[in-house]
Amino acid sequence: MVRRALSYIGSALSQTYQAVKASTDASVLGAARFLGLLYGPIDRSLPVDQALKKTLRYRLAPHVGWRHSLGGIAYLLFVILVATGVMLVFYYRPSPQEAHASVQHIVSDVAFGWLVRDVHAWSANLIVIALILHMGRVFVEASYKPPRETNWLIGLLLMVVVFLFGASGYLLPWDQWSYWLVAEITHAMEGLPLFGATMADAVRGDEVVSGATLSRFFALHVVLLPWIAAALLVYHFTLVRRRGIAPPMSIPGDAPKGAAGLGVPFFPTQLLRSLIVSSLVIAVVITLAAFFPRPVGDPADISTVPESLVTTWLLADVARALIRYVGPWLFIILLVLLGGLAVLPLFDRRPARQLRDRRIALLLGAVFFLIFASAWFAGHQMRNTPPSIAVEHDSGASEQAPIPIEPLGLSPIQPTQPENEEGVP
Amino acid sequence: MPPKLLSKLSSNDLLLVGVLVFSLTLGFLIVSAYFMPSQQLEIPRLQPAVRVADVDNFPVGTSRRVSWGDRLILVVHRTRGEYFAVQGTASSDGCLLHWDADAMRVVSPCSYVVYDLSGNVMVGLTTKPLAQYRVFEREAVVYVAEADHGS
Amino acid sequence: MKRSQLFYLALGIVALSAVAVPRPAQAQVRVTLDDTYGCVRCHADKRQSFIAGIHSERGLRCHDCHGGDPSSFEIDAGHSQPFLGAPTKRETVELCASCHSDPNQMRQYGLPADQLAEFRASRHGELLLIREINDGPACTDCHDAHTILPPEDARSDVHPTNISSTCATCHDDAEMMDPYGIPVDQFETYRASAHGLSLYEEGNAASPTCVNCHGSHAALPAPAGEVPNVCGQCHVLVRQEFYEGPHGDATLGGRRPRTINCHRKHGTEHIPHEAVQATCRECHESGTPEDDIAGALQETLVQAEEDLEAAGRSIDELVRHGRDVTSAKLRFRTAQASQLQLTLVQHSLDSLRIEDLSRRVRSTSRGIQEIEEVSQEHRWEHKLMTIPVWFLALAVVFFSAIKLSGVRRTDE
Repeated sequence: MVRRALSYIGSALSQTYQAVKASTDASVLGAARFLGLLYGPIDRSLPVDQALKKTLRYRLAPHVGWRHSLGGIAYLLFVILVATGVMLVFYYRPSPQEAHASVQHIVSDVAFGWLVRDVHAWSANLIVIALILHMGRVFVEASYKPPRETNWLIGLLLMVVVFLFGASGYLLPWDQWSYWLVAEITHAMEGLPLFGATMADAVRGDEVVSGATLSRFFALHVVLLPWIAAALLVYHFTLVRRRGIAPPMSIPGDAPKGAAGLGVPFFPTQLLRSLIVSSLVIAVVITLAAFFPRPVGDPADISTVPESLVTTWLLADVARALIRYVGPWLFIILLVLLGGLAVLPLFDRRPARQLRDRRIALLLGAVFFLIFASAWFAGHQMRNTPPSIAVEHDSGASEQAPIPIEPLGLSPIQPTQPENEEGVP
Repeated sequence: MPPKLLSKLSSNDLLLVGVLVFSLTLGFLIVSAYFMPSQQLEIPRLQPAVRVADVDNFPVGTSRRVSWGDRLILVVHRTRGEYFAVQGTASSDGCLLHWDADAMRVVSPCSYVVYDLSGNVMVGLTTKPLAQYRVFEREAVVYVAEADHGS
Repeated sequence: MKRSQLFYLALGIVALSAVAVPRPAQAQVRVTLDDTYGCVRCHADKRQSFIAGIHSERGLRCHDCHGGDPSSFEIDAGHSQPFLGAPTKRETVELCASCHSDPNQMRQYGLPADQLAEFRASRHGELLLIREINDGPACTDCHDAHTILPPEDARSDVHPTNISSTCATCHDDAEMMDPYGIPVDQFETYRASAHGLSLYEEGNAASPTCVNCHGSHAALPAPAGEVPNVCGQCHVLVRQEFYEGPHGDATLGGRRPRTINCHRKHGTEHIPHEAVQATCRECHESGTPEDDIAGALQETLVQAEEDLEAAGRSIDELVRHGRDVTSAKLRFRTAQASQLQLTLVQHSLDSLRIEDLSRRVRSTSRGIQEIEEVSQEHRWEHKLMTIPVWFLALAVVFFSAIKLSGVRRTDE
């Protein structure tokens, strides 16, 4: 009896399975490919299960190694950031009165809230490192050369978007450290010639960092930038799939597509490699979150400058150091550097890919990296210094101007009434 | 399908799939726990009023101390139905204030400061008055709220 | 008596009365000293300073004090009798007192009429009026002769922020003070003291100045037994505690100590808790039972301070951990209040109450630190959670690696 029931259920299930397979369009797999989860081309003429099998058999180029996983690591961290971010936004309240308390609530009252928040904060740090390394790897291997120039540009834009994500998200905890760092940066922005003040006001939504800024940054962080990032990511993956991974550096020019057939198949080899890397990355992120949780600062107080500005994001350190030593010019420098990196493929079109044959590019890359690293180091040393903004004319009890102690004596005293007034008012 | 698939999988594969399934389930459980509502977020500072005591528990001539966010408030029931609420800590040193019913004054036990029920300094080494609050009764419960600044 | 003698006697009496008779109450007339008023012709500078003061507001004019004839523009006629001119110090005192000692005149302004009586009781009055030495100040030496302003006016020489420098005009002058053996460091020490800083730096007008402790018109340094009461005018509870303890008994018995033995007279300061025993040792020799009490007291005070600081640090840590600290802060306030009371009650040297208060501080601070310890424990548990995470991650890596090597073998 039981066996009959089980076989009946089994056959019903397999019938459903067949029906689902037959009714699903193979282009569903294209979506997975857009999202970077499948590598091989999708043959849409086949039914979905056969199309899947075919694409799983796709072979990567043999020179694809562990260093090529950096982009994937960055993507994984981005997915973690999106997932934890969505979880955070269920409890976070984006108003100046409630923001800090809501973060406190997440960290202390919500089950595993601390984990979600600290994973989010650490992923934000690690993604910057992963992006720099990924960009570095592409740069060193000159994978930006034709026909991959557009993808290099898209990648740079993605990096800028991720940096903007971090910058806008940094203010959201609304504690003294976040508030005053953003105040310091926008204050530096005001120093730019011509349109500096206007730009700073536009960024802040106000003359000082206030609730308007919080709303603005929240909208950017949660609505606008995700859409831009999604679009850029999809395009980035599409271009990678279309052009293929750049050939090994020993082969001059672009290798014919057929060479791809010699490498490892996507399933199971590449997938297993990805699994290894992903589980290690996730374990590392969780460990960092548990051992080095991001501390919560005092609630933001727009009238009191804190004595030390503890920074919790890599780029915050970089920004502080650059502001201290370079002032508002930091924005110009960054613009010039990024611009230089962006137009690099336009100038470096020769087939030579070794670093020693690309002196100018090497110089540019070295400069970028050195500025970044030294700025981060300098900024890290500044952790115990107060922000560079002072609150002016604070009439706190200890700051009152001392009352003059000299008696006035017979110094001329202005009469309180005009001289010619007569009689009783 | 299942028997064919199972024969293709080695023990290692099973273990791998098993660990993955287990991890994913654990992750799912953690995420579900996260979304389950537990303690509600209440920010006392932002609440319009705070509960002091039931009217029955608050006889004439007594006082109650109540906290509202970071602030401590002293509520005094002076005569029948007449309540006063002032800042419960001295402005000068943060000492907790008492209501002396016999002498009808708000005093600090740490230094000789006497305030009246409007928060004005009557005697003492300070010139900073106490903040005032508004007290109202509703459904036989006494509440404290911000003072009306317009009045 | 002959009729002519009577006449001259009456004339004499009238003439004297012209100087000495109390002035009738002035109507609230706003007078001006314009160029129809003779004195102004020559004494324009005096006019300038006078019209800024309150006497001018109350309707007084030059001749009301100085005599003379204001309708005339010639010196001789203007200075006709009765004429006081520039009065001497003693004449000044009599002149001011002619109105300011009459309650019937002062009542309408709510002013006291006892300044002269007080002045006579003071050292200044003794010097000027009794010993007739001109070193003593007259009314105008402090209140200015013409620009007389009420004490609450910040421009007045006797406003709380100005009175000390007014006193210092003489009391800072070594030449003047030496014959009397009075030191000249008071103003400097006062300025640097807690009272001085409170007045000048924080602008707290309730801070005591020279006149609050020494009296204004009846100025005299307070004798030994009175000092706790002088300080106790403001520090009421400290005085009560002091008199409950052995030091209070000693003071009443005429022996030291007084407040100023420990807290100094002009340079009044908080004694830091670490310096308590050293202060006691100024009178009590080390090794005596009193010195032991001092040591125990110092230890209690320092411990209470440390407990409170530790609690404060715990609260900061709790904020870092993202915990809500409202209830912890409330407890901190109660601990703080107990510690403040401890600094008050120490003046009675009542060991029972001191112990009780310090115990309260310690237990409340301990409670706060326990909250932080619980939070640290939670964090420790979070760290433990990484063990199963790594276990699972390494399991995945391990099995994947095995599978990979297997796949590679089948490939080759």
